[in-house]
Amino acid sequence: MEGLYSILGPMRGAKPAEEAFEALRTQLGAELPDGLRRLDGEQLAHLDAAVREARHRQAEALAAAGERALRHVPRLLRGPIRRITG
Amino acid sequence: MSTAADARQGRAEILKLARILQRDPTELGYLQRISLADLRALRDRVTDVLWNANSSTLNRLAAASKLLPAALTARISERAFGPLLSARMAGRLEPENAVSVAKRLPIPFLADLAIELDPRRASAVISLIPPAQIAAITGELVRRGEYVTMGRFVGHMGDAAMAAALGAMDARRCFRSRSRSRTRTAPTA
Repeated sequence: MEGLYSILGPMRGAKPAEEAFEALRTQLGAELPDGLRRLDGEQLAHLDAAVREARHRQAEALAAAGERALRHVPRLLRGPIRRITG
Repeated sequence: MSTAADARQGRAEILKLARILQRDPTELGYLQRISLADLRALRDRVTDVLWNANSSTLNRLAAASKLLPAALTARISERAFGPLLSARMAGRLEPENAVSVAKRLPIPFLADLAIELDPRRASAVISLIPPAQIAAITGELVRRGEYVTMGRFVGHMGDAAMAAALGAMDARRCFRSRSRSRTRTAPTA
C-alpha cells in the first residue's frame, strides 16, 4: 500500500512523507515522536491539516464568543472590559 | 501495539486526540500503527499547541472576568463561550473564582466542559470542586458512557472527590441493573 502511495501520492499532488513530516513538525513547534515516520505523506498531511483547522476554528470561535459575551455585560462595565480585552 | 491492553489504550488515545481536533475518530484510524507512547506524546503536543493558541486573548478574557460577579461569568460561559472555550479558560481563572463560577453552571454543561478540559491545566480548580458536584458530574458522564473522559481525571482529584465519583459510578450501575431487572420482571401487557 505504501509502495502504491509512492507512485499515486505524487500524482495526486500529495506531499512526500518527509515534506509532510517537516510541515507537521513546524505546525506543532516541536520534535515529533519518531514513530510518526511510519505514516505516509498523505496521512501526515491529514494530521497537519487537522491541527491547522482546529487552530483556525478555535481562533474564530473565540473572536465570535468575545462579541457575544459583551452583550451579556452591563453597559457600564463594557468600557473597562474592552480596555482589558483589547 | 504489543498487547490487547495496549491496543485498547491506543484506541482511547486516538479517541482523545480526535476529540481535541474535533474530528471523527475513524478519520484517524491510520494512527493505530503508532506505538502507545508515541500516540501519547503526539496528543500531549497537540494539546499544548491548541492550549497555547490564542493564549493572550484567553488570558485577557480571564483577567476581565475578575470585574464580573460569578453568576454573570457563569451565564457568559454557558451562553457565549460554550464548553470548549470555557474549558480553555478554566485553568486561567483564579481557582476559587473558577469553582464559584462552576457552582452556578448546570451539570450537563459541566459534563460537556469536562470532555473538553485538559485536567493537567486545571488541576487546582478540579481539586477545589466540592465532592457533591464531582459526584453529579460523574453521574452525568457515566450516563453518557464517557469512561475515557473520567479516566483522564483520575490523579487530579482529592480523596473525598474520588470517593464521591466512585460512589456516583456505583449508584449509576445499581440504577441501571435495577432498571434492567425491572424490565425483565415487568408483566407484559
